[in-house]
Amino acid sequence: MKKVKPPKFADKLFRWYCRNDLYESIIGDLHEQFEYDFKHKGTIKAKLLYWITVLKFYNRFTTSNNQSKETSIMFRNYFKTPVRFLKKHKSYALINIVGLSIGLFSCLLISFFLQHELNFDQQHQNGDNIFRINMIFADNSGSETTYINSPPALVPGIPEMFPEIKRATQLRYTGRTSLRNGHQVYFENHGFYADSSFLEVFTFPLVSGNTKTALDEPNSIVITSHLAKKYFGEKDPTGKLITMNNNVLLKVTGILEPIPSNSHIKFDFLISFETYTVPEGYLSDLTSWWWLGFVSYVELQNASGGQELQNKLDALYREADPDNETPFRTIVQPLEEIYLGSTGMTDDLASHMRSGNKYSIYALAVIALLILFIASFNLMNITVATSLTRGKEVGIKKVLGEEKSKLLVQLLLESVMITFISTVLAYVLFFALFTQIKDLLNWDLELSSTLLFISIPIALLFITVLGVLAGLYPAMLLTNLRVSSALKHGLKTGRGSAWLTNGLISLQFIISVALISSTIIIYQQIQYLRNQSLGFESSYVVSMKLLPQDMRAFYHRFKEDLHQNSQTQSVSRSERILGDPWPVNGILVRDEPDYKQVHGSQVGYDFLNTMGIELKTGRTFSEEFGTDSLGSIIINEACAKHLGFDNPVGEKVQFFDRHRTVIGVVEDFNFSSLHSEIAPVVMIMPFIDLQNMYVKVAPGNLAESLDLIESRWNEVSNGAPLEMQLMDDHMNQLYQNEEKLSLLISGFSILAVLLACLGLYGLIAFMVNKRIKEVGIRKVLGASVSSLLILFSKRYLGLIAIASIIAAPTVYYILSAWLNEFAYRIEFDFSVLLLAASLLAIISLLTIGARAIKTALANPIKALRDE
Amino acid sequence: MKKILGEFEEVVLLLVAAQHDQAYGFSIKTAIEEMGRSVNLSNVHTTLYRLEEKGLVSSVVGSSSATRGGRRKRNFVIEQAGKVALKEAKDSRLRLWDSIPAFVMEGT
Repeated sequence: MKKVKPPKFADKLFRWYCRNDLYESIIGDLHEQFEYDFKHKGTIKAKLLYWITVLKFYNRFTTSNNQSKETSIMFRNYFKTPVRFLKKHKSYALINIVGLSIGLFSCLLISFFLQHELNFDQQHQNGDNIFRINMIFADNSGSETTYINSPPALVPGIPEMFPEIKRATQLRYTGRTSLRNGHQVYFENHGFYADSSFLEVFTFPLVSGNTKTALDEPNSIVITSHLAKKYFGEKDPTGKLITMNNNVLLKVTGILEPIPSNSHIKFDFLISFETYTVPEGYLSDLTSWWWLGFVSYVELQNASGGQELQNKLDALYREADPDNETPFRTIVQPLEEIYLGSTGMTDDLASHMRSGNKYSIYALAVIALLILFIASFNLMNITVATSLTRGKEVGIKKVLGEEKSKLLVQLLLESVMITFISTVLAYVLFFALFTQIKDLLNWDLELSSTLLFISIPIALLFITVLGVLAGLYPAMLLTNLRVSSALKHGLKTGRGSAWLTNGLISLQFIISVALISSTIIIYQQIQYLRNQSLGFESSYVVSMKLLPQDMRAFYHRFKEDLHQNSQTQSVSRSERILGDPWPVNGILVRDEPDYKQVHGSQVGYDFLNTMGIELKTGRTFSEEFGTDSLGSIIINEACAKHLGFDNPVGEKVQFFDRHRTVIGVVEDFNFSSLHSEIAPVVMIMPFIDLQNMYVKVAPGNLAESLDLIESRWNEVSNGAPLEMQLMDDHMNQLYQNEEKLSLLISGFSILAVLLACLGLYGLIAFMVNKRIKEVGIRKVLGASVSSLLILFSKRYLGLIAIASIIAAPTVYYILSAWLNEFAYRIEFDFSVLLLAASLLAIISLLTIGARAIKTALANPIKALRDE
Repeated sequence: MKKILGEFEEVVLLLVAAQHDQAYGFSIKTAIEEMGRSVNLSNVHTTLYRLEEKGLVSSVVGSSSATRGGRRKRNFVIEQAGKVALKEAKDSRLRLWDSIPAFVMEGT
């Protein structure tokens, strides 16, 4: 019989982990067992058993290293010396660990945020093939607006014309909607009418219900599990009825799984598109190719067809309206680009689609990197500085026969240990503070555990590299030292290490100057926006949102009721609230053939005085003139210029298919945020039911006024739903994004500057300690405290000046680009850089002073006493 | 401190004593399997080392033999402390046996 040998690889494995004197007898036993098993149980079973046994042998007896006691002592020594060193230089270790862990923590935080922002709309199976159709609208003057909206005839029409479209689906924002089940009534802000293919094009899984049919029937509603809980508690709502806006009954046909926070479409419920009817008074219907009131998505046969479809759609619109010099154009935008690629596009429906800001993403990524740079420069600088004192230690080790490579490893281990401890601390900080920070910044994101899991090995790898890099230069310097000179003089400051230290500090200064000046400019810009007059007065105005039918039923009675109260100054209502975009419509000046574009809203009586909009000429809407509700229009100055009126009052125009006479001109006001310029605006009297109502109250106790309004409303309307908000709060929300960005950038910038100062402090402390005798001698010879301070700080002040000059062009370039996003912007002022540099100089002087003054004030005897 | 023997340790120690200076890992494993009990070689070895650590047995690296590819065996012998431990274990068992009333075990 042929002799079979035990598995070779198992032998190797055993040899690898068992390195002591037990090896020989165990491997002997193993082979004996294998032969026995081979005879009695067969090859396969014997081999299997052999493997199992080898693996099970892994324990402390086989892995302990009693063969070479010296090696193990040496090995332990590797760790002992770094620990001893860190203990000896506690303050430096502390500075490094605090700095690095804060730096890593910021990086972790920012990378989780960026990861979330960069991975939007990933859950859709056909995501690569999905596109949104955006429309570009240009008026005769050539100004263009890009809408994320598109007309309702598109989705039913184009799949037949273009075979590359597999499916198409469209949404119509429901607006503010009240939903009711029994006594549970709430306003919901996030809902859409969606046609039946919506749930097939997009992958939003249902907990119950059928994605293919859930939105087929009219009066069907699909709600998220969150909403189901809110209205129905623990009961299964499938098949139950929900009342919408107090007048439409909807049947629940499906429950959606929670919508992920990284979906650009944000919704709590979907109502079947068949349920949607164009409100009375609208001039368009669902066959319109021009009414930009919907959001359309197409799923193409293949992912590369977007550009081609865009060309075909553009051609379609050119042919449909050959006389128009500036027809509609389209942008067929891939799904993955929607979230970050929609900056500057208008949503005419204000439908709460999520859209991100590329700038803030870039800014944060850069800041995260900068913070990390600063923290690692600190590590490098302090390691270089402290290594200067270690010449003797290394010299003695070399004399005693330590190998160069082992010495290197040992020195590197010190910095790796610091980075390792910092990483652990950073994760601890991250877990402890994540929820608070998320709430503070109003971040809409979940912490994914898989991601966290993935981040750990990356972080570990990264910090090891960082530790090695930080320690490499000083370690090489030390190990290459000649023993005799090391023992005699210690390590001399070489030119190389001075260059390195100065270079790294200058880089830190450059980063600090850039961050400080950016923070100042962003802050100034936001303050500038805040203090700009919008052309209307939002203080002491309470805005209220009501259901259209409640507005119709109770508005007049409520208004009268409020007027009897001395706290109420005036009451009005409008189609769109100031601050939200006002929709664009075409206006015809009497004898001109082409439509011009203006923003328009329907407003009630007293709108101008409620909002504090100044009347320039003419008059406002008045009940004394019965014709106002049909035939009158008020325009702003920008509109008068836009339409070419020298004497606007009395001019005839055609708007919403009616001939109207201009009765008044108001001063320019900005209905939206100051990101955009003042636009031509028209106001007409309402012809549909409005939803927004305003009460201007007397200055004084706002809380009391709010209570009064609410109690009056409840009495008049018998408790119909009402949402109140101060106009001031509403306007502040417009700058929320900028404020969030500014908060983030300034927060992290301050952190970065603090870290740089921390490093500077460590370095100075070390330098001062080294020159303590010099200081003593200088003092004995009569140097003053201030001259000593200058001695220590002049080098750094020079570096700050150089750093500011280097930082200036970069800061100018980046911040000018950011400022250009605003229609109303401050000018870039180079004195900000001067301010930033002086701030940095002051902070650095304080840092240096804190350490140096202590030395300078000390009695020179103490420094000179012992030799 | 009195060293308490585990059940498996007791078995291994008994076998070391029984095989007297011929005891080594594989021989003990075979003996245990002959008792109708299956055991992994690594468990036997680990137990032997643990007993050695407790000072109950001692080991000597023996002579090489052809069956093992020329590798030497590690032979185990029982130490005085091991004998005492075995004795104590046996005595405590016997005391327990003695405390069983005669009629209980009748007919077994």
